[in-house]
Amino acid sequence: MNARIDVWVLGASVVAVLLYLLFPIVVVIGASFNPTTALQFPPSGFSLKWYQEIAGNPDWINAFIVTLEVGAITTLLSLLFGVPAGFALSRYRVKGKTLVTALLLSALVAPHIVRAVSTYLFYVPLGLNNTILGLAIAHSIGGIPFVVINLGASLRSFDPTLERAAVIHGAHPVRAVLTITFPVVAPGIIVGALFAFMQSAQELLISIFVLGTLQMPIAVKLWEGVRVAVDPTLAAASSLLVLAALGFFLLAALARRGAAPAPNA
Amino acid sequence: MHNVDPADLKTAAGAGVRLVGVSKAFRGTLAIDDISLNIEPGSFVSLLGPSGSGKTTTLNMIAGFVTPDAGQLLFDDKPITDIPPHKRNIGMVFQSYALFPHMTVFDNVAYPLRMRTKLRKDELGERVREALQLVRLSGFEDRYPRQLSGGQQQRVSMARALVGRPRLLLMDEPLGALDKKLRDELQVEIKEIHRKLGSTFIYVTHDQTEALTMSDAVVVMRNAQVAQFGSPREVYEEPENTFVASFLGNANLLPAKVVAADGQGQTVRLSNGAALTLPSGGRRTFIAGSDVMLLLRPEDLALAAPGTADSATLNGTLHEMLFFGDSYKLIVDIGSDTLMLWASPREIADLSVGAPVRVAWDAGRAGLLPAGE
Repeated sequence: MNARIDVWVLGASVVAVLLYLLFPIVVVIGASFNPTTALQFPPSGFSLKWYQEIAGNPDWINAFIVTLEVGAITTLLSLLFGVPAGFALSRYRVKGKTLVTALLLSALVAPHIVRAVSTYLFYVPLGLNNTILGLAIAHSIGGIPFVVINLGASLRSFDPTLERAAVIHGAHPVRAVLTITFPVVAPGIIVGALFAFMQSAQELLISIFVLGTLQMPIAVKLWEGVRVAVDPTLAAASSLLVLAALGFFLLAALARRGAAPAPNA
Repeated sequence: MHNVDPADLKTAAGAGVRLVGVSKAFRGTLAIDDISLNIEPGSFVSLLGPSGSGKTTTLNMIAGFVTPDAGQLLFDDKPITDIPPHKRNIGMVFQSYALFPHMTVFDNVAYPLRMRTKLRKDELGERVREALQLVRLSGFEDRYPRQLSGGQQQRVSMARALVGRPRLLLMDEPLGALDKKLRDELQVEIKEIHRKLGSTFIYVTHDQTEALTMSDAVVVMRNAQVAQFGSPREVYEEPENTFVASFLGNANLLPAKVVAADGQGQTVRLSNGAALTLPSGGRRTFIAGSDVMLLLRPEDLALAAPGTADSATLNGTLHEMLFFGDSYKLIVDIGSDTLMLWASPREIADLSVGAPVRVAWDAGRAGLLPAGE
């Protein structure tokens, strides 16, 4: 009897926690289907017109493109610096390893407004404000830690004997890393890259400061919308972002499961 | 399915491996202490010893993963200390199998060929299939390592090590992770493969039975040094010290003192006062007064038949008898020392613990070793 109560309590708390966590998303997605101009939940009907509105509006399309551009460059830069850093930090006895790791992670905990202001001031003499590249560089500071952390986790579970096996059977050490180590830890790198992209796509404050209002990524465009005219387009755009994030998490989960097929496939 | 013609896989000849005064220290601790070894081309040599004795370091040095601090390493009398591992043309089998998880069995086995040769696709496939057939895994080409049992994974690992027809094959406790039945099976197979290929095999193990059954020569290692190097029979029957005697097989080692030594033989006195005379012609002679250890293997002892002369027996009391199915293991107290021996259930008759027993010993097979080792 006790066991049944346990199961019931467990189930109820799981549902409660999930509702609590998903509440904002449910509201946003619900509101995006509202047929009227009011941003309300539950919706008074069902309509896709706000999605059509987005698809037909060059401002929104442009915002998506800017987000993609910034995200792509951010991801590239994060990989370019994060992969070697991840290897160095988990493979070698680096002097000041703890300090370097702490500095890398500090990008994750530093208040965004501080990063935004300091990046802006730093960029003024460099002329990097109002450039896609400038924003991508700023975002990659937040992306590199994700790559380093995820690659580090993969490398810790990587059996170094595999590399020895490759070398003793004729592979130059560099080739052993390329043909054995990289493919085996690739899921960790991919997950890190996806996180790097996502943190760029949802970042608001640095984007406002660096890109100003001439070119707007989605996050900034949403913020503008909230300040100027609240209507369900915002909910529709947000829903699309949620959808993209969901897709990314799905990709990350697939990458974690590895490239090889399931047992007995 | 056609049978593999051993000649197809047979290497030109095994490589001779020589270590000359090789040493290696890790953070001040000697892992290998001035070791010299001469491993004959084509032989099967085991490095045997407890963990920490330096056997794996020695193997890794031959592989090239560890650089010696001093001394020289030669393959066929050519120094190779400065040649990196990927150019040494060696095959290696690891205890953890070390199969590449993202590759199929075929790609795992083909890896050395792809790294070292420029074979045409059909030749490559033929070589991989030959190697898999040699380890009895034909038909597993498209599986991934995680879909195989431990024994199958080790077979793949062996095929990968052999496919390039290396003249030297290194095996680092390859059967250590497998259960006993599978281990016994694979021991026989590895031995067969060695005979077919003619390569030199260097095999690290801490299992003395494995070393004795498989090898042409055994290197017994202890504390970073070679305790003895010889054929399995030599190291078993004529151990040079008590460590080797007790590490290989069961050994009764009794402290004794040499009371007389002359052309007739050596007489030793045990702690219980019994005097035993060993015929001359043993490997070692000690001067009278030396403290020694008397080595009596259990198989050279037996319950004495009635009427056996007293000079050929040791008197004691039965301390323990353990039934093993086909035989009994007997523990006999003789003074402050104990003897272990085997007896058939028929010999036991109505013997019981506490009974006085007479143990016959074979003077010709007893050995004397320096005490204090």
